Amino acid sequence: VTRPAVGDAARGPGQDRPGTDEPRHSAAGPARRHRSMPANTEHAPSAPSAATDELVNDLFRAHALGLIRVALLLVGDQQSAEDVVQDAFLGLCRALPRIRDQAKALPYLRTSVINGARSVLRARKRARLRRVQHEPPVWSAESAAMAGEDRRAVLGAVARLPRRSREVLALRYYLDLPDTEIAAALGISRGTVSSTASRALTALARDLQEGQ
Amino acid sequence: VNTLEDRLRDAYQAAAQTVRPETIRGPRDQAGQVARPPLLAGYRARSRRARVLIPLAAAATVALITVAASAVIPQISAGPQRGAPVMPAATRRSLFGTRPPGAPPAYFVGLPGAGAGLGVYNAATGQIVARLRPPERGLHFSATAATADGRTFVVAASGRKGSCDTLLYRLRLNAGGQPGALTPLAVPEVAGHLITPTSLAASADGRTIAYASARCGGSNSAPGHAGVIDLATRQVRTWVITLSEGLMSLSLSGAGRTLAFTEATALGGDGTARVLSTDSPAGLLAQRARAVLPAALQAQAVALSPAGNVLLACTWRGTSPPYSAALAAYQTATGHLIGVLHTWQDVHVSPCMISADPSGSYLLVTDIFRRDIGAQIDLATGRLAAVPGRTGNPPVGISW
Repeated sequence: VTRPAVGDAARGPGQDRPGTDEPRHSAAGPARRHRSMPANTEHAPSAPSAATDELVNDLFRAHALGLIRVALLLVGDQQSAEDVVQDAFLGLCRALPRIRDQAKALPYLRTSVINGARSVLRARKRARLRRVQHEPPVWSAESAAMAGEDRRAVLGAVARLPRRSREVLALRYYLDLPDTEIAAALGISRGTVSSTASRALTALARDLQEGQ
Repeated sequence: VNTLEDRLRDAYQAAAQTVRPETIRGPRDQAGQVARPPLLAGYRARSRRARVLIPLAAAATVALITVAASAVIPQISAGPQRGAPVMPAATRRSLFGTRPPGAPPAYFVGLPGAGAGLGVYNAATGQIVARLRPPERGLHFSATAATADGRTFVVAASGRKGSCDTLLYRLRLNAGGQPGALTPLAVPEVAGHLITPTSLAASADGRTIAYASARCGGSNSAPGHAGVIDLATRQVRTWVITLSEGLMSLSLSGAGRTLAFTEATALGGDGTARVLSTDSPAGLLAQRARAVLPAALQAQAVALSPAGNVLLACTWRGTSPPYSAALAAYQTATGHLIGVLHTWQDVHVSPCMISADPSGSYLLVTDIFRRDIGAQIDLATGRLAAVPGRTGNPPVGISW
């Protein structure tokens, strides 16, 4: 009912890797990241200029809603999705001075959101072991936020797919990203994107057929 | 595979559209768009010294607020779970037992789950006695509402290809619970999809219908709004939803003059319960509706008594398991607690849903333990009778 217990766990997705334009693909656990944040802050580069500040503003206005929606498709609930996106922007603020090509800011955010979503899901997995409940996903019958029985069935089947398959499908069929950009966002090869999507669709078709 | 890809795209769009600019937490700019949160805006200005001082100041502020809140909160949210008296039998009888004693409705309707259409349930056994398919291919049922005779319901359906509108139908059950044909209501189509399966309510005679719909179809489409339809005159009065919440658990008084709803935390709201006079002039819902129960009470579901003077609410307490929940009665006019009708301990996270029967003497509660469909509560006596059902799959959008 209330904010999921994993809220804090969503902090700090996609921490930047010093000296690169890419956020780290395998985000550390939330507790470890929390502990490392003061050190990172201490060694953070100088504050962004007004121009980069304006860039973050523009990016937020233009892409925050879309990124929250993508995060929602990955984590299932809006509050966690908002946390993930806010943290992605925080990571961007820290990384901007080191991002040499500003056109890479949006891909950076996308990757951060995916990493953040992974952190949330990992934290939930741990929380489930302690029998901590979290907000039901928007496509569940309990949530009642989304209309459409077929849509619930489809997204329910997607939720049963492996993590990478879910990410590939969301980026391909919600964001309509080309395979090259999906590959960049997930840190995998284009061929892997293609084969993962193919396997995911096959599994999805089988699952939905069996469910009928 | 193409069909599957289309279904996938459609499902992703539908899920993504549940996030709307007005439901996102945080500040807005002058154009009303989501603005960069202060947390981000403040990042640039922070010096190293500030990075040290700000957390200290924040910690001090939190400590101050905690001390202040510990003194104030018990008074404003006298929590039904903490020290509030269970309603005396005499009060119960005077509030809920004034009508001639009778049995609760024999059937209720609900949405059993994905692809399952609409179910008619035996209210005593929880068994589905009849299923109804949507009236057109592509449509799906999205919400239900009951009228006072216990056999007539209003049903909403949406999902027609290329349309964001919601269609309303009348459904009648016979004495054995078997549904007749769906009759389209002669009202203007509702713009947008209903926000939840509890976003529909009907007056006792079924002549007044209330709904809450979300924007659907991009920024040029009609904004999310709450609406009240007078079937006799076909007049529709609407109020724009600008609150950062998903309206849930709509309930009309018997005469259809008062509409109650919650801003459920499950949908991003803060848990405030409000009432709206249905003859309020059109405008912003936030300005027209009056808060009855504060957010501190975390109202997840509400139901108005037939006279509209009593608001039943399912409230929650706790930020981590085990949660406790209470069903309590409040004065609609003042928000004062009349008394607690029932409490639950160690409940799960999903919100309970409640539906009052037409006499206002019985309540159907679902989703409390998820072991059964829910329970019937005789409000006059406090007796609770479990409604068994399939474990873990309670219907949504119940009405009786």
